[in-house]
Amino acid sequence: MKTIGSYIRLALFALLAYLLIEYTVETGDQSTFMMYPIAWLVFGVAVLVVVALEIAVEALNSVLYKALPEDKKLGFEASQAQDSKIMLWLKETYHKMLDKKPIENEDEIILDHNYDGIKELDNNLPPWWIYLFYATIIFAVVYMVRFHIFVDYTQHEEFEMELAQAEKEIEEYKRTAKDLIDINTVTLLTDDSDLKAGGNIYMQNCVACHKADGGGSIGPNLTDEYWILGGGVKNVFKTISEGGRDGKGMVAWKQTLKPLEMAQVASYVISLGGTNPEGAKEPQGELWAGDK
Amino acid sequence: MEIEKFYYDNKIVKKFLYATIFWGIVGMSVGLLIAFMFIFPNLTDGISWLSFGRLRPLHTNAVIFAFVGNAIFAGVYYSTQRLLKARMFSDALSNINFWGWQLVIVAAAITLPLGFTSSKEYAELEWPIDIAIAVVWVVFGWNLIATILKRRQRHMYVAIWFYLATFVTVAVLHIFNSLALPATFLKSYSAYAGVQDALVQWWYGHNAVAFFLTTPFLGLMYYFVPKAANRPVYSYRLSIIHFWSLIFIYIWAGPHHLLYSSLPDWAQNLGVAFSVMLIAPSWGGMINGLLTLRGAWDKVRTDPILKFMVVAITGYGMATFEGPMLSLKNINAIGHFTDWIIAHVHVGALAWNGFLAFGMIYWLIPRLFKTKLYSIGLANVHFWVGTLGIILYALPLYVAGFTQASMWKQFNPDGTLVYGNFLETVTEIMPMYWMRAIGGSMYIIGAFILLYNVVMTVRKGSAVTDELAEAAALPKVTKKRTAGEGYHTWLERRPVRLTIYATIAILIGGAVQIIPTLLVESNIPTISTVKPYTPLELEGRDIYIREGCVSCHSQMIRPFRSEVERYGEYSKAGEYVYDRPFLWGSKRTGPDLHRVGKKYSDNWHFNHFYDPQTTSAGSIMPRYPWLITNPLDKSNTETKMRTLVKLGVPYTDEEIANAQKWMEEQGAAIEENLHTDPDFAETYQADKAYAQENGLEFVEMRNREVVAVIAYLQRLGTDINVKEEVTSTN
Repeated sequence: MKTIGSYIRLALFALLAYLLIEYTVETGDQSTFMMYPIAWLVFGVAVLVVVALEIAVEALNSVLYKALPEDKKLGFEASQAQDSKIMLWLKETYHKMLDKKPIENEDEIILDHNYDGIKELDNNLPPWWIYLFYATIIFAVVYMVRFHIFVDYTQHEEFEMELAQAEKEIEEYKRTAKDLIDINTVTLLTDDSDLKAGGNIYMQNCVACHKADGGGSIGPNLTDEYWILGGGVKNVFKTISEGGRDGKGMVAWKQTLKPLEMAQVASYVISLGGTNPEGAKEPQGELWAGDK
Repeated sequence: MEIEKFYYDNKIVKKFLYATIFWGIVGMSVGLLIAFMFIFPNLTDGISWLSFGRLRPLHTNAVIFAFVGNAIFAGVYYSTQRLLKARMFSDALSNINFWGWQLVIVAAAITLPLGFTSSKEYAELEWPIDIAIAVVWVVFGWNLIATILKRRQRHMYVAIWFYLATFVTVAVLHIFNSLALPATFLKSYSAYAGVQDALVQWWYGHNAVAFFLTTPFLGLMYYFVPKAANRPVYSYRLSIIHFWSLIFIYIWAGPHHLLYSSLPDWAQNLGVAFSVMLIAPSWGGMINGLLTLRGAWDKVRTDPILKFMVVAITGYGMATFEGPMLSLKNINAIGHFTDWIIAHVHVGALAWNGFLAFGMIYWLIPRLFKTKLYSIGLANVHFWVGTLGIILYALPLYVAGFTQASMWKQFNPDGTLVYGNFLETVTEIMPMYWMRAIGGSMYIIGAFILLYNVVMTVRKGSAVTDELAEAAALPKVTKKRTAGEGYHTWLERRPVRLTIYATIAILIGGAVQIIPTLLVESNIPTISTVKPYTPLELEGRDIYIREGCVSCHSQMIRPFRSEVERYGEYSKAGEYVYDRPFLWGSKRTGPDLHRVGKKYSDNWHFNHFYDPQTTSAGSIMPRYPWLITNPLDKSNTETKMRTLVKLGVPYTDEEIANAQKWMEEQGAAIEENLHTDPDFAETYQADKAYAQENGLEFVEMRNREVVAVIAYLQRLGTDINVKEEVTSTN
């Protein structure tokens, strides 16, 4: 590993190996490396093999070189000293793009100003810089023509397109997905696991206003039979999902909680009924006698 | 030709240098304090004047105007005298410039923590201080131009062009952005409202970066880099092209701070197009700086001053490439409102401004004291600690910004947000805030090393307050001498002409964008249901401004599916017509608040102000207990309303006459709502009874600040939902 070339080869190989592993192993949406951490091992071994190969080839070369007779050694060195065509082209382009006077010839372009000892050279503008400038100007003109004169799309239209696309995708998903819970299909869950999950969600999100025991503080008492927006799992689910009364009630939770989670927490809240915790808030709303 | 003897004024340079170091350390320390507030939100619990919202503008102002500002003056006063072969025009003006500027800084350091702020970023200071700034700035310009006029060097060097452009543009920006109508001694309302205010503010804000942090420092670079490297400047013609293109194009780029906002599309498009064109002019400065070091790279290896300069110029190159990239709308959609922007500006501030200032200080101090730097080794340590600090500061924030932006935008297949709770996106990036604070600490440690090195150098040296110099007076130019003179060479000996041309160059962009936005009504479609704030809401809004809520909360919902899903209907230009100043914000440490009105109950807000963690576990918002105890100052409400009437807000005389009653009623309604919470009712009634028993003064809840803020928050963004026929005043 003595030449820059060997490092470039190694980097290219590593990239290639990574992409190959990523795209040849069937893993769906997930990254191969996330799904099968063993892939890292395969990748590492492959890279190590290439490092070993590089070292071996270098060693071989050096042995062969030492085996050469003296006169051939000189010829070999001369051929090595000459740059390959690509390198030559690269060097030439690089110098062309910079277009700077060599330091030795600086006196040809030094201006006769002297500002407190500071002198100025008058090198040409670097061509790459000018091309960059032109490119950005062309970009700007095209951009203005496209979005201002021909109004390809406004930012409002962009938003509408995004929404339309999303609507299509959601519809597609809902057609194929099973067990979706919404206000029409939600039922009271009674499994211990569901209630436990609901309890956890309750402790994280609801206690600030309804207290841990459901007795109520900012929000109403959840343990009595009175409900402001109706009792029963459907109404409770709806209230959780859409929120309470504007400016007075609860925020909508549908952005935060998934439908199943809302069903779980609704069921948990209903399971608190009749626990009569100490210091509970007085009833608010109307007596709920509907279906449970 | 007779050689004249004269003296350079080094004393003024020395003063500005000391001020640079002092304010630098102050400004950075405040920055470090607020960096730690992200991790420990209640670090300064209950002390209103040490709360995040009030310290954030203090940090930005101290770093920009006190640290960088004093560095500019130090460098300009040193280099101008030498480049023009003349002492400054007037020592008196120099000293007025120095003491006036320090006075402004002290005034800022007192008023900002006390909550006197116009809330316009980097222009937060209230109107009396704004006037003082304008006066001091004109004194600086007068001194500079008068010195140029009595110069002994025929042509003006590129550094001087940059100084002139800086003077003119900052004056224009500062005056037009600060236009406001005073209501009281330290409270004014912006002359512009909503979208117009936003455009003017970011025309200013962006060009404060351009003409306060960039052009003067490019001038300094053009003097100190060739001096320190002892090499000629790389290309004279490059300096001409990049100077004119830079100042002409920069001024157009302001709207890129308002992409996807309610600013009209045409102005946004102009902002994008001109920002992209800025890459080459900005890089022209970088190239000229770095290539000047050609043939001096062996010196860079050993000389810490050159190292500082190289990192500074490289940082400049990175930041000025990143800026145009962030101005592309699709990239801006990710970066805007996140910590990515904080990382971006700190690469500029810490590397470009900070390191160039440090390099300049290390170069100047030994020369001002006729000695050698106390320790090259310590300067090297400073360099490495500082460089590591910058990396450790910026990289985590790039990660944080990207992480948070992608979390904001992710959807579940059923159309709900994956991270519907904003807090999840905050807790995720806490480790990055830790690393940022560590990086920032390292940078400050570096500044202290510099302080020590400077003190030790000064101690062993002896000050040269007036440095002898000699030069011939300028003879009259003869026609023969100027025959065949290039156009720009001619311009370089015509300072007034050059200043006028530069002024024209910087006026065009601003005029094309701002004048139509102010005059053409179709730019801001009227929404008839949008009504002025009630007096109580107005007072609440002023408290919102005082507390600097805008530092962390935007009021601008962009037209993205993810934002509309999270916050509600996207923001419309017509909704802001009574917002003086606009409060769109530039960073979302917390969620957007434009549609927060009616979302939560009054009780929720009350508890949230008392302790945000009780309603939102894991929140990094600090507590605001003083809002709950402070009585609301209603003594100026009518004056404020009358001031707003003069600016075009349609309050009737009757409304103003009834302001007190109106506030009382709205406050009482909120007070009643708060009683829904039995805990509140119990504690509040107990407090009231206790006060009565002991004959203490008791302020009813309806007359406290928190009620005004709640009134304002409950109003936010609700006007577009009001049905036309309902003539509600509320």
